[in-house]
Amino acid sequence: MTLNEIFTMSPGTKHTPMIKADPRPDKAVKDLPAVQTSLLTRQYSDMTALNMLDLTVNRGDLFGFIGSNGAGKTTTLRILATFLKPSSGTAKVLGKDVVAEADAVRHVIGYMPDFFGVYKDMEVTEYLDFFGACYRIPSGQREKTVGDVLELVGLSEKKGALIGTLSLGMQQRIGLARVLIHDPELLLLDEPASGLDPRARIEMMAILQELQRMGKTIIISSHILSELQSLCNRVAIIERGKLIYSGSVQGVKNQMETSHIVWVKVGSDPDKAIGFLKTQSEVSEAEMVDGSIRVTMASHDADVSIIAETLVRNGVPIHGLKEEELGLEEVFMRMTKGETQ
Amino acid sequence: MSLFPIVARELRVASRRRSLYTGRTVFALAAIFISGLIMSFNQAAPVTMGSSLFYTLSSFAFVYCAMEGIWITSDCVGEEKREGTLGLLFLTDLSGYDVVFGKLAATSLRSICGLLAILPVLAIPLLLGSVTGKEFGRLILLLINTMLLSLSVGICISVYCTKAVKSAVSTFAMMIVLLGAGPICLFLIGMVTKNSPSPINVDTYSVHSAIYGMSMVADRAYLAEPWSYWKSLITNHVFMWIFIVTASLAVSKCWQDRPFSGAQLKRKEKLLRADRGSKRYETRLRERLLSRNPVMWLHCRSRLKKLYPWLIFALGGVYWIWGSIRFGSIFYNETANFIGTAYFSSLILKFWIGAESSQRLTDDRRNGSLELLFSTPLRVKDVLSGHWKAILDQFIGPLIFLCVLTLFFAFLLLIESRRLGGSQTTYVVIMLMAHLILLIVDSFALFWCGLWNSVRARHVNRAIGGTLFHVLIVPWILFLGFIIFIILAARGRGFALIGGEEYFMLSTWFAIGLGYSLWLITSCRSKLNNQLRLLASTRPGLEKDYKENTLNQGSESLEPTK
Repeated sequence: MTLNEIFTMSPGTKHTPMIKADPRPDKAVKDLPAVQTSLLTRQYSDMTALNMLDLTVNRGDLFGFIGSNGAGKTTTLRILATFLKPSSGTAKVLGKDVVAEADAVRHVIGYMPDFFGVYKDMEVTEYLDFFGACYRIPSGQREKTVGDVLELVGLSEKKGALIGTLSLGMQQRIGLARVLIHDPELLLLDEPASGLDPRARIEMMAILQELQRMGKTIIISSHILSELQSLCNRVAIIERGKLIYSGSVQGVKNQMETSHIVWVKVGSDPDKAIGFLKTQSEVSEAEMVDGSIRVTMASHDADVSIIAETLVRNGVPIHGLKEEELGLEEVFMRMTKGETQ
Repeated sequence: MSLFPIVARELRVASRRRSLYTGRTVFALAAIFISGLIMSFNQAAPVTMGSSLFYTLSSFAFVYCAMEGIWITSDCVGEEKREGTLGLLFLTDLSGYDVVFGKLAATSLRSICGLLAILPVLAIPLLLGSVTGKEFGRLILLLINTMLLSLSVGICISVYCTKAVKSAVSTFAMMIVLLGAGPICLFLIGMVTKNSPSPINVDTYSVHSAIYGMSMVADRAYLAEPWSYWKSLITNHVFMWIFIVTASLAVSKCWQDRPFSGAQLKRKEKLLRADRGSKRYETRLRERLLSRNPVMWLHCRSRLKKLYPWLIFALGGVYWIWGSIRFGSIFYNETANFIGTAYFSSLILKFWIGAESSQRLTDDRRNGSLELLFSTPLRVKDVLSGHWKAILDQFIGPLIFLCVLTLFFAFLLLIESRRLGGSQTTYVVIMLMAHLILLIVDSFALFWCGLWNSVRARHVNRAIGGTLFHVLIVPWILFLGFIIFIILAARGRGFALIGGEEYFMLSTWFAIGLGYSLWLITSCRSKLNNQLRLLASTRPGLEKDYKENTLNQGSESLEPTK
């Protein structure tokens, strides 16, 4: 059963919205971005944690928030979670101002900090029941909701276990279940996969993808960029409190790619193959690197098929052909200077 | 040898703490204040005055030394165990001795500095000729030995206990046993046999007690039986080494998590059920309290916690039964029994309320649970109200019972006063009434101050100590300071206090106590309302940033106005 089914499809388990004054967003509200910050600044005594940050996260995005330690990611998330007051600028969550309408914002977000404590002497269901009560979910509904979120995060079998006896990965999943208990529209997850083993990380990412499919907006800050690359549809890169990129993952890659490179592996006579390739106007450079031919195309939009065509025409057997793609880690390294505050 | 590097490192770290220097100053000022108090009241010759100054100050210093382990070392290893950092030390070449000595060096520095700060004041009687150099030397030796014993008891218990409060209470209990088990046994034996103990018995039963050693410091007692002092000192010193060695041997074995055996798990489950009740009861309680206030449920899960405060009255009852059997009707005619019962019961209850309130938020803030709570729509008001309701749930019964008991005592004394026409009894009745009002107001103050300290302090024990100091000690300091000021001012103008001022004293004590507690309630409540949310999201030790921001930007609270 998915969370969509849990909260919306099944009439018997339909979740009562928490905000009584604003039960369902009307169309105008639906059109608003999930998060919008404008000139958001947070000043500490001798440093600027956030420097005029303009950020927009659309509804339904799985948004990766990338930056070095001290770049301002956690500060941003804490402002959005209504824990910190900005020094200047504004931040809106689903159209609500995080300062003026902090209480309303808390109803529609689920915040999972990078480091959070659990009440180790509580059973899993007690813990979630407690947080359900904090979100003012009616008692008759809580039991069902707790069971459902536990099912979603794969911890149904552990509902009677004491939290202190569970592994870190399971505690992290309980943290995620807690975040979901009131069916928030926006999830703010600060390093949710930190400290988890590879399997637990993959499972966590799968749950996040499922949540995105359900229409949740998720902002996730993480250092594991390879995972964000496959997980997120949009990313923002922040350094020293300044936003240096915000947009699609592919967009940032295109922006950073200085040249279009294709790697070719041929069956015989690579020098001859290089000679053939160099005769083509679409190819600006071809050279042998580590047993493969590195072909630099003349332009970004040059047709790669010309390589295969040329080699086949001249009887050179092709064993492999791959376009070089920048990883998010490389993009991040190129874009940032590694400066921390 | 790895002993010295870790000790040196810990000492270096400890020497950089500001509290080391402020603490030293505070101790010196406290000693000067007490001396001033004695000198103002005592009109005797300098030699006699010096003698009373020496013994009063040395009594305070002794209590300080004996109880230092509770605040300083009783949680030093337990804290590392809780945070999982103890194991990291043992991944290196360090042995149990290194860790224990390192911890002892780091924690005892402040205590030793505090004691050193008192010594110059304690030496004034030496200059006045009231005590000899040898007496002074014996006292110093005994105080240092007692302090080391207390610190080693604390460190040994912290190796076995993980919970801060449990560890502090166990250290306190162990110190009581070490200081008083023998004399108490002697007293009980004397009571049963109705014979006064022989000197040999006194020596045998009390030699382990530092209090006995303390009584042998004066030349008169020491010269009569010189070995008694040294026997007491050596016994305590041996005890100290036993605790240190035990701690060193145990610490290297206790840091690893071991799975519980089947029997252990069963025992734990039994204890849990005894405390929480059956599953059905637990579920019903949860449903009921969560709908009232989730935070209240968080702190009302234990059933036994509510029963423990009644032990105070059970002990009081035992005392009254014993008195009735031993002394018959004379026991009921003794005003001191009424006052004593009311005062001691309320003092213990106040301690309890202070301790309970002061341990509410420290760990929750440190491990981030408090922050999670504030990420929900719960308001600061809801959280505070939940804590208040939980404290009320735990203590309202004993508090009402104590109030009724005090009123009953007052009523009995009033009848007695009407019958005999004594003005002294009327004074006692008024005092009991004032005490009753202060009990109620102080309970509020202990709650608010305790909650504030618990969110500010890094360690539970310090939060408890701070709360008890603020609510129960500071009013007395203010009162005594005020009285000294009045006496000095009267003397300066050539007036003398000629007696009959007990009502003035009582009303001053009451006014200062009441005013101070009300101020504390207002101040702590307002600070909690304004700053709790932000403090919850700040790790302890990072308040500096927070303060600077608050100063720069006004209120940081993102609490809704409606």
